[in-house]
Amino acid sequence: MKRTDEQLLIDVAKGDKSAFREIYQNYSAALYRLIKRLVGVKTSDYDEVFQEIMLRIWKNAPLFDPNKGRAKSWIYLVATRNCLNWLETKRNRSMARETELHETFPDSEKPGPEEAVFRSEEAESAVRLLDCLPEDLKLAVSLRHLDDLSIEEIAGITQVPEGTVKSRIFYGLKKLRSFFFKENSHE
Amino acid sequence: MNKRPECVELQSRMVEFFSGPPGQAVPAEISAHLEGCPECRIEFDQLCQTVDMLQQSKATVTTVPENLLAAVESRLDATPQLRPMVSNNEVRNLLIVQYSYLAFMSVVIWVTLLFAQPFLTGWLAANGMESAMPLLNEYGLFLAFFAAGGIFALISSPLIIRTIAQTSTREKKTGFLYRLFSGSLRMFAC
Repeated sequence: MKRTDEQLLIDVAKGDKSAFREIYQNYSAALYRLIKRLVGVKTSDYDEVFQEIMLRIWKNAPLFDPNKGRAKSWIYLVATRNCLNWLETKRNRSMARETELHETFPDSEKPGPEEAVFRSEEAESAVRLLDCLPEDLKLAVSLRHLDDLSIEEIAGITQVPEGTVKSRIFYGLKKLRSFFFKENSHE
Repeated sequence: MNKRPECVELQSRMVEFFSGPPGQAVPAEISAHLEGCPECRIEFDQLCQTVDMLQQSKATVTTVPENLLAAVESRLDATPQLRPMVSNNEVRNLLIVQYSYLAFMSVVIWVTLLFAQPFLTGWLAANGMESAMPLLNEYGLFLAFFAAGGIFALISSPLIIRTIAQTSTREKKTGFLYRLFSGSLRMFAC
């Protein structure tokens, strides 16, 4: 009988590695995508962040309480917090280095030309444009429309009221729309 | 450009609509406004297209590098799992139960010894095995049992509480032996 994600997490909490492997199979692609979206489009750190997240899921599994929510939202909570912490650390490091060098970094976070060719499809460009959104809007839009989490779950992950989540999704979509249709009007 | 009040109202309806699941039916209030307002119609359609594009992007296959599973698995053993924090109330309740039990058993044993000690004192005297210390002759059983019981109660209580409440990964490997050990100590203490 196939175990539910909740049961899998409970088994992971008991040190069951086969359950962890199943969690990995079920979520690795989605989490890898989430990391790419949150961490940025051009960085070689995905793998490092991804590994940290998977190990955090293993480590924190005993703290998962099925009475408090779905396994999926718990996993996304762990992943999102890890990504945001990583971004925060990276930002602090960059700021420290900037102060040292007294100069700004080149715009290394923007996609390079090869990547732009690679992501030529319309849907891909929507995701690329998602990277241009402020972090809070990007997170709300992607968790709702790409990862299908409920408003309540997103509110739990982002620690803001549900009304704020809805506004962020809407204004995120509006910004995306303006980017996308502006971009298309130049073509 | 100032928007009409109905258009402003539509924005708050759209906040709800675009927070909902994709593919849901457009509410009548929104449709009614869109029919008579070309500007809002354009905005609404473009937002729908934006959502559609995001939905389509979900179909894009993301390949996770194959080596990552092995890399993660190789680090699992070196990553100890956390245990849920035990609340102060829970620890306090366990302590109350544990010490109440021990106190009760102490009283039972004390009453038992009260009856047993005179027989022992008499038997030692009859066999010429009396000690030079009168205290040992009169209260030897009490002293021996309470000394041993006290020491083991002190050792076992924290062990029992830890066994019940906070089993670490290392303890889990020898879980049965560990519980047996703390259980035996408790029995002996009592």
